[in-house]
Amino acid sequence: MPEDIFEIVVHGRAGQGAKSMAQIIAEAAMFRGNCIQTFPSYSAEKTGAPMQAYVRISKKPIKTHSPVRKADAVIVLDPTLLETIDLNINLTDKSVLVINTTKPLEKIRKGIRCKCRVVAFDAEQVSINHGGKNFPNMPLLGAFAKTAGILDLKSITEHVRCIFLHKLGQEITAKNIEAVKAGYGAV
Amino acid sequence: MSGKKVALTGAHAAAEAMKQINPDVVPVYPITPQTPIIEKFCYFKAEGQVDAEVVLAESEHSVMSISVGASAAGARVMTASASQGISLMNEVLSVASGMRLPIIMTVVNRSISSPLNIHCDQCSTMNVRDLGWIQLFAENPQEAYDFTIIATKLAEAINMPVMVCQDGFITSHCVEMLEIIDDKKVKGFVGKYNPKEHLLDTSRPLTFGAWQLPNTYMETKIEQQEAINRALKEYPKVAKAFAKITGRNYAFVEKYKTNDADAIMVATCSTAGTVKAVIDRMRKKKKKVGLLKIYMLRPFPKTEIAKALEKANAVCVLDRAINFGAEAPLYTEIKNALFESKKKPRVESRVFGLGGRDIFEEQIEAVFNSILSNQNKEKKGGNVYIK
Repeated sequence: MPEDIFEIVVHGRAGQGAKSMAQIIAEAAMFRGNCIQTFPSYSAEKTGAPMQAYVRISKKPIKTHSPVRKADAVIVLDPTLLETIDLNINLTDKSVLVINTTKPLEKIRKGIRCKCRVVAFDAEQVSINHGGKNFPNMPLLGAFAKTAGILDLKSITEHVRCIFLHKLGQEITAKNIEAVKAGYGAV
Repeated sequence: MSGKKVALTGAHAAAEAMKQINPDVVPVYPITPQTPIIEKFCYFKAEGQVDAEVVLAESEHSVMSISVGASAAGARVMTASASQGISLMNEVLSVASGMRLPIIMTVVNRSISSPLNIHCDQCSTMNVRDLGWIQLFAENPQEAYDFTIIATKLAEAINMPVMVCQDGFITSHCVEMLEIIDDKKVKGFVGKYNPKEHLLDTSRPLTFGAWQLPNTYMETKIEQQEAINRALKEYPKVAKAFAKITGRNYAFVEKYKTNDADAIMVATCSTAGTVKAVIDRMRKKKKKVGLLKIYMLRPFPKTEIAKALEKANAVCVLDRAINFGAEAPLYTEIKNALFESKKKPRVESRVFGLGGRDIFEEQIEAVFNSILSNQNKEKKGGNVYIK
């Protein structure tokens, strides 16, 4: 974990929007004057397969192209991934873990060996309440903005609007932004 | 500089350059392991942002065959491929270079079967390095974009096909900030393509790829050798003109802190960036380490490479490819480049990252420490792996 680079790992299943989420964070940071890098790492190329997306944010140009291991922020989109991946690889005492789960915090904590901050909430339900569909990445973006301390909520909602508006139209964009804000409020 | 800052993946960056160049013909075969380069270019076509003729082929072999036909007919031709796609094109790649057709192909470095795997390594690209194509290697989306433009000018200046290679996923799917130049500048730089000779010139009927018997075939091949080596003279001119409009300078190699280095790592593409990050850290600990990044693999800039390496005590060549029954491809080339040098550094090899296996900074640092202390004495030469 280099001091001058903020590093993020997003764990998800292909199709859940981990890559898009990483890209939204990276680009929002870029519009705030940072150098950025984000790339996905796939296993099998099929929907539902576990995958990761990495983000780096820095004031200086980023040279490395290696995957992120120890991260400042770790985001988990799918609670079932906890059965197969060991988050301890990514976490340090200074990390923040943002996780979509219905399990109580104590249960999540059990498997974690360091003293990192853990933020757990049912992002799936928040997303369904606000958009009608299960896209946990939107509420998780809000929770990330509140707890990671690298980007504020406005930077993220502005960028979500910027990329969704021409693709999805006004109504769906507004719903997504509501879901981001609800995630921010949920933690 | 006057460019626009954007965030793009390496694949999108290559497609963006293709869009700005707006070639006449782009033959494509859109199936795995195809890359988002073609996907993005077809989007530009559907949106009416390019008027290139996109030709849907039934295989990569046909893609290159159509490229050859269109290029011989006088069209500016670009395409993209990767992995098995390049392997399937193999036969026609040498037809393109033998006919001296300046086709530009953006390539994503991906592994080849079997076992089945489409992740990053350079086996497919290294496989075709002796087929007469100029090969340029890009580290990041910026270089993938820049080299696509440089390649077009270089190819047409000396009538030779060029591959612009970037690492699969690590670069092709990696979003980074880059500077793109405006369409007019790109079009001005590459210019209009006016081939001196082509099939459709009825005032001067010609045969391309003629039947040549033992009495002439060899002379043609010798001429082809001289032609590709002309890139060693032409590339610096093209790169200089490119630097004039962008401020970005590209030599045959990038020397990163090599001048006083005791140990130098040789690498290509994305891994070179990771090596730089390691060097920055090790330099703070007063370790004299450096990187030689290879931009051009074909033609092989032997003199520049030897010059950059001969002062070091130890060199380690990183290969993201394997050469069955022999030493790793880049390692072999680097050793060969140093053979005639008066002072020869110790040259070690590391094969890593096959089939998309991750490479971490700690692993590179460990290799640097190993070559600095000459721990690997007994294993000199041969295949050594970073697993």
